[in-house]
Amino acid sequence: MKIFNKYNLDKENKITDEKHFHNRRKIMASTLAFPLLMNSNILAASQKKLSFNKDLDYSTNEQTNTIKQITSYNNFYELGTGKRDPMLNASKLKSDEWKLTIDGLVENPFTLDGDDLIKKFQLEERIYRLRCVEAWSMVVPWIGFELRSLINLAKPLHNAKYVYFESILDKENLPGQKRNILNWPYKEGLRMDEAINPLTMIAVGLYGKVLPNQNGSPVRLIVPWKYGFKSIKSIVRISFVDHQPTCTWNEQAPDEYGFYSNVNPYVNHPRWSQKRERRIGEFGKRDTLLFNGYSKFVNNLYTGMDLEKNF
Amino acid sequence: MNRLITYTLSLLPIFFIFYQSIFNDEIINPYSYLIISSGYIAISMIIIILSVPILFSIKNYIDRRSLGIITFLITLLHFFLYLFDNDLSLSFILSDIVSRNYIQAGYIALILFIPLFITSSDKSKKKLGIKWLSLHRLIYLILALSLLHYYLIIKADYFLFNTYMFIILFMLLIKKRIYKT
Repeated sequence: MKIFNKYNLDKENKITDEKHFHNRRKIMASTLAFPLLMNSNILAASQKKLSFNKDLDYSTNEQTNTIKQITSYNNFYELGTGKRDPMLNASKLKSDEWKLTIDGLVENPFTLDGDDLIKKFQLEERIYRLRCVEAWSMVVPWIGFELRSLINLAKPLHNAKYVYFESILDKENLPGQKRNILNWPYKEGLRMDEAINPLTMIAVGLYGKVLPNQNGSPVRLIVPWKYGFKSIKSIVRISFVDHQPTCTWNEQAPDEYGFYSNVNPYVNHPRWSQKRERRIGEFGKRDTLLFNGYSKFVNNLYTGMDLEKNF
Repeated sequence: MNRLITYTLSLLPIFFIFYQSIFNDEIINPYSYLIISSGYIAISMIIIILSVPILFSIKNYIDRRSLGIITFLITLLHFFLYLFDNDLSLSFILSDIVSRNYIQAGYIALILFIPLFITSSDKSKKKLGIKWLSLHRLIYLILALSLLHYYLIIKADYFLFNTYMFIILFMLLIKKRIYKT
């Protein structure tokens, strides 16, 4: 019955504690020595704890995925294109002495450092569904603040219609950036009304602690009604602009990844059907919901728009 | 004896991935891992089948026919994993055939593999004579379609695909040289 145990989401074991560590040793000893098993993730015990409130307005009460699932199955091409690569290469992301620049069409451009990110804003925990375009999903307890509180500080000018986000560029250290897999740095964008929607969040933590590198340390975007790739990781720049900004995956394959990329089971995708999804930890698939189940918060953003054309 | 060795060795990767997907809790999405790994194994085995004649020292221990049969069964397993992944839903499977090129390439490769599997016995070999050889040359087309199937699902990183292509090219060049002399 071991197989069934495995698919139970395990809420108790939120961190890789000593018990897990020894289990892992046992597994390693009992299987062939294979690179997959070697460099296992031990979440730094020294990972800084954050103080935060728990949000009740937007959080789902669904069972959250385990820290292990959330930190060892990632798409973060800067750290490698395999699902386990970001975890294995996590230390290659240098996230200390971080600077996040807010500029463009604003009255008040400013820069935040790592300390500001966790101290300047009232942090809260939000439990959101995350739906990857590859037809899998997780439920993740993020810690962060609404993007609109940062936007309010910047005071955008009236002609600022879009927000542009840019990830770290570090070809020396980031293994994925040593090859031209994507047109680095990773770029994303939102329309202003999407950016100030209360669901849109800047995350600095996960499961009560600061973000692990593989999840986009030290600061990332969370847009839960869009496919995961819109939620850009390790942000160094947020710019307010008057035109629709370039987005990396849209640039890579415009017929596959649109600017909006809202979760939508009715819009066909050339690689994966978006009708259903596998929640990580579950065996069968479940139906995908329009806007990832966040319709009541975001429906009004798209009234009158043809979502088939603006996919 | 050779048959036993070949069956045992060629089934190892499949046992390995099933074992991993059930018992290794480091594999977060076991179902997807099974589908993807069985695909890689199938393509790699076709390459091995085609390389047997140039593997001087070990070719005497390999029964090429058993290798072919196992490879077909792995391809079939890959296909059934895909069907079960989509809850055996006929409407989904049909819409997938219509709308996705990589799925079409996969189907054609699988269908072309069937006659090779059926005619793998000595009896068929005798019966078909010279035609048997030309029929079984289809394995080159099956390999090409499998590679297309793989190529079309790659999102951005072609490194592993290029590695496969490099190995195949290398293998074909050596084969050409050997058969000339």
